[in-house]
Amino acid sequence: MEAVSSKSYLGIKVTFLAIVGLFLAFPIANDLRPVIMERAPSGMPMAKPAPPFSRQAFLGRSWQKALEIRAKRSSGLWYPLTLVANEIYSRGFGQISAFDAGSVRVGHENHLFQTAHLAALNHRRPKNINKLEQRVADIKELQDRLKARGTSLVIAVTPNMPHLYPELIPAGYLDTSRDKRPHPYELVEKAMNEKGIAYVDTVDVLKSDQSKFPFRFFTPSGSHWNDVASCIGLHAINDKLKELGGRSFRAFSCENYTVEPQPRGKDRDLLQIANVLFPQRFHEPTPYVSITYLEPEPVKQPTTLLVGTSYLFALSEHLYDWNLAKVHKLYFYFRQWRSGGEESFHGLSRKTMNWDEVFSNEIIIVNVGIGNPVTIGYGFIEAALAELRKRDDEALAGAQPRRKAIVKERP
Amino acid sequence: MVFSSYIFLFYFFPLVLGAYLVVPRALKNFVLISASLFFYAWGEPRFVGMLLSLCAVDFVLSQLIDRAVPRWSKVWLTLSIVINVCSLGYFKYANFFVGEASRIGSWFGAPPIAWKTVVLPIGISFFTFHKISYVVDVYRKVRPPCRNPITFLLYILFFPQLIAGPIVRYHEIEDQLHKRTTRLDDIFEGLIRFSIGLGKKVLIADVVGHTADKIFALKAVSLSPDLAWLGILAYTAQIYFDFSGYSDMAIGLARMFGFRFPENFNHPYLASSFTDFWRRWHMSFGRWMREYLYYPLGGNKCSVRRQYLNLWIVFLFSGLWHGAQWTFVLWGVWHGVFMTLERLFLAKYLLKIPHAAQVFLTLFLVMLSRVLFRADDLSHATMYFQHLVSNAGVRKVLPLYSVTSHFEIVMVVVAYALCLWPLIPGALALKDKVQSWSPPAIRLAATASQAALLLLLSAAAMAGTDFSPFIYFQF
Repeated sequence: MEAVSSKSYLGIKVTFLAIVGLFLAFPIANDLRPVIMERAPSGMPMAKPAPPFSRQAFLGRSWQKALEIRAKRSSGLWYPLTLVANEIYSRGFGQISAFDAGSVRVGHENHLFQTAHLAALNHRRPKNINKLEQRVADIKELQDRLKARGTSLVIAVTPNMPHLYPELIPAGYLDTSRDKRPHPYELVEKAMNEKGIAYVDTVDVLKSDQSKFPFRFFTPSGSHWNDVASCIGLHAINDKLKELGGRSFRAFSCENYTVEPQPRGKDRDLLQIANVLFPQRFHEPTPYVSITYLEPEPVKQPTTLLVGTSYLFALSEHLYDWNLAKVHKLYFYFRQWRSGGEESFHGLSRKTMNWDEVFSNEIIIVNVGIGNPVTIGYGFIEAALAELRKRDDEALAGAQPRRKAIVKERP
Repeated sequence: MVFSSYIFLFYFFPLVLGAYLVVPRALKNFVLISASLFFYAWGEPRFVGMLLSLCAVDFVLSQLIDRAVPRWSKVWLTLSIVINVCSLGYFKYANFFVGEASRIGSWFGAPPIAWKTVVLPIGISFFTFHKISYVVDVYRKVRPPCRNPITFLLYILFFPQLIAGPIVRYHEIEDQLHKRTTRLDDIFEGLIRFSIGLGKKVLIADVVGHTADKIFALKAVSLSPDLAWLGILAYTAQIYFDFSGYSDMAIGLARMFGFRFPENFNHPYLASSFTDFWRRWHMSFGRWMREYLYYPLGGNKCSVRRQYLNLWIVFLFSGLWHGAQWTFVLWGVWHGVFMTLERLFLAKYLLKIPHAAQVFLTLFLVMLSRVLFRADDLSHATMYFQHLVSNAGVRKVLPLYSVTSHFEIVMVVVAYALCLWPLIPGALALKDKVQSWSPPAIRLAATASQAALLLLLSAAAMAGTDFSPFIYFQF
């Protein structure tokens, strides 16, 4: 620093001060005359308006805290600097964000994955495992009751990237003692087999089909199965429906596909929330299925209901785009719903829902993620079963009205 | 308000510096006091009145100390010290003593003492030490007291050092408080120092601190020895880069406003003994302890036994100053024990081993003491020490990246590389050679570029995270 304190080299000093001064003064200047518009990184909320000042809020520090968040998010620097930081972290250290605390992680070969899937990968015991026995019994009962009404209920076990390709997960995320414990899905699978539940393990199907395709079933930038994998999954579900003997979809093949140089929207969802500066390096040529029908179009397509997670989005699109189900709805986590072809969701009220419409479906597909297999149906199974029991009880009671009347008269 | 926040970096600092530079000389201190009060009120609005009242009391008492006859002068000094120590004692130690009294009472069947937890005002340890050093120096006639209350307020409240030091003595900056100039060089060098400090804080301390926090929060069933060692490595790095980063920022900010603050750190992890460590670590605090506690107790000018007692008192007090917990007391004892051993015989033996070995041994022992510094309580510290050497009771092995990340591990390595690189044979000579070969303009441009890059990277890191607590605020 001895050279720094000399009075010469004015040019260097002034240049430094000008650059740093402009940088530090930018947010104030941007507030006064916006150059960069406020923009939040994907997955982050926008800055809230400055909170009104009050003595109480000031003394309690809530005003200051709100203003600090506001100052950061509205500075005009938040979005670009987050992208810069995440680019450095992801390039240099294979992680998104400083503490790798977000929901997205970088695996080998630039494959992004979700932290939510690590617990099952490490064979952690799910919190709600004690409800498993009851839940499986409920599924079996619902399946039987629906079958009696002409509806096929199929449970579809859907994959995730870490489960299908554990070799892409860096060793630091893996628990070395995990093999001493069963995978949560093994417990679910055992319980479902014991009860004789009709289910489709698409993970098994994909594993056995992998050698037929020169690409993985997950894109590096997406959290969900790709178009080909979801097609194979739907195909396996269709096989199961046929096996059950009820309605099924028109037979199709997933073998024809085109490879596009970049992934489309849904195959880039993780990359979007990773907020990196140069996302192109996560892009990989991605296959999209060109459907081949193996049967003529039936007179009437089966009415279908899908219940579960975002892994069903692809199935829903296939049903709609390929005209496999004339009418179908998707109950997302049994909290929101949308019809086939719709982009946005509507709120779903469990209290006021139209159960007649639910039970009029010829096919109901409930998916369960292999990463959290105990949460099958997200409440749908229990609610539907309760409704069916009530209806069946009422029907039973309705079949014996005289006896009831006699009982009423007795006192 | 913390220095490593957007509100400080992009709003408070540019506005205050801008205002300071444009107002006439007569108003400069007023600008700084207003800014400092706003700075403190931002974080501790409820204690601004108390802070000002305590300042007013000390200002008045310092005038009385100066003007009174020696006997009364001592009375006013005692009164000032009692008020300062009592305020510090109440806010910092009341919860601890009441808790302990309640615990002891419970042994005899007494009901727990009803007590509303006292909130600790940020920076009270630092501004109390500032005020005590001031009144004692006035009493010692080191310098006459400050006659201008605005100047006195600025000495205590000046925001760069208000909440975490360095502990500056009045006479060290008295001239600057009255009259100072800010040159282009001051802003240039201050900004460079600030950027370095911000980088230390945001890019290293916060990052490795995340690992330390997660590991120290682990329960015994998950704390394997390798994680326990990683935890103290990370925490030892965190506490240095956090505090020295803060000091760098404070020194840099003060420089931009025309003040020259004393250094607070001098490569403490290169210390070759505990005695050496305390000459390099938190130097302004060590100096305060020496001047205002150790020397008044008799220092070295007394019997050997008394010297050791004085040393122990100083380290006990140092421990308690850091926090009202038994772990801090033990931390003080730990340092006191090794200082005593060094004076008794250890220093002679240390000199016989290679310098690098001395440094690593000292660092190792300092690192172990950090467990006491960081642990929640004595049982936590005991558990942690056990798990440094034993895997017993570890049943739930966690994946490495559930408590840390690749970046965090790299930054732990970077932190120690930055601390220990002078130990590499020839490294210092090589640095000197490179410096002598390169023209000053190149060196200056390189320094400025590094500082600008650090500032940009720090701002980018801050954009992506809200995790930025300063450890030393709690003291």
